[in-house]
Amino acid sequence: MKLFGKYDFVVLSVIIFLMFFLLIVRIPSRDSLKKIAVEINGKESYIFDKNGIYEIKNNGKKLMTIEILDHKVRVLRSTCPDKLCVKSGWLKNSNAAIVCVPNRIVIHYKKFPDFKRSGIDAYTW
Amino acid sequence: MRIKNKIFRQVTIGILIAIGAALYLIESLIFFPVPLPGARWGFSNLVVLITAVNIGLYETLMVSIGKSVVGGLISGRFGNIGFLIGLVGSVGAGIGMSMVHRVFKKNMGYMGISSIGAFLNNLIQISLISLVLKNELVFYYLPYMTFLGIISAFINAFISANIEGRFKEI
Repeated sequence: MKLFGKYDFVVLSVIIFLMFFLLIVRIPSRDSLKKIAVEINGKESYIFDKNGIYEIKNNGKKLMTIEILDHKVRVLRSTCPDKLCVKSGWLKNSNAAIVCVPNRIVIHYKKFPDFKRSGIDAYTW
Repeated sequence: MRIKNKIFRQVTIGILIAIGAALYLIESLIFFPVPLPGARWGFSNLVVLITAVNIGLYETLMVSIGKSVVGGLISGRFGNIGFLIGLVGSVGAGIGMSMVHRVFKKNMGYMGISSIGAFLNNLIQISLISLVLKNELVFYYLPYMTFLGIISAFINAFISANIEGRFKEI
């Protein structure tokens, strides 16, 4: 079998189109880069909007330390084995998130008004 | 390639798993710009690609599970959440590549099959992480991982296409 076949360019162009589609679909919302939310196990546990160094705890167990400076956030220390959340550095983009899978923590910018309390079950993006 | 001899088949699978585990170990040392567990360059999927195209579905499953388990044991990641996500992704990509090769036969070259495998691997991994965290924001990383996946898919396809002739001589 050869390196390139008949349908290879079709497949490649579909994948590259999907890639650019996913890149373009996100529209950053500048006005929401204020509050930082920390989710533990899918539940929003903390909301921060002031500079400082904070500790994230779950059921009394210390999980990580985060630093907030000028509406940016980074993880200083974490108890997870790979420390990928520390390596990912400052979070600046409102569509991105700092993820720590072993601790089940997601740190992101709080975006919209809370739909869950307004009676809407789910929303897509 | 049809392998009728049972011992020959076992030896071939063993050699492929050993190469895959070595590549797994090397690629986990190389810096990867996306900070997600289980995300790696994917050079060890070279052996899965070779098996899917040249041997068969059952052997592909054996090789993709084997190289992840052996590589995970050597690198100390065995049982880790990143290891489990990587294992499921690599098995899914192996099944996908084998199926694509079976459907399209000669019409699809190594590059097409390899890039489908890379994309499937990324999609499965990110979906699993999103399920575990109950958060859809991790899909932010999908286009970046797809771009890096195409690069490693090309490298894998190039090496496989050049190896093929020698592989059949064994």
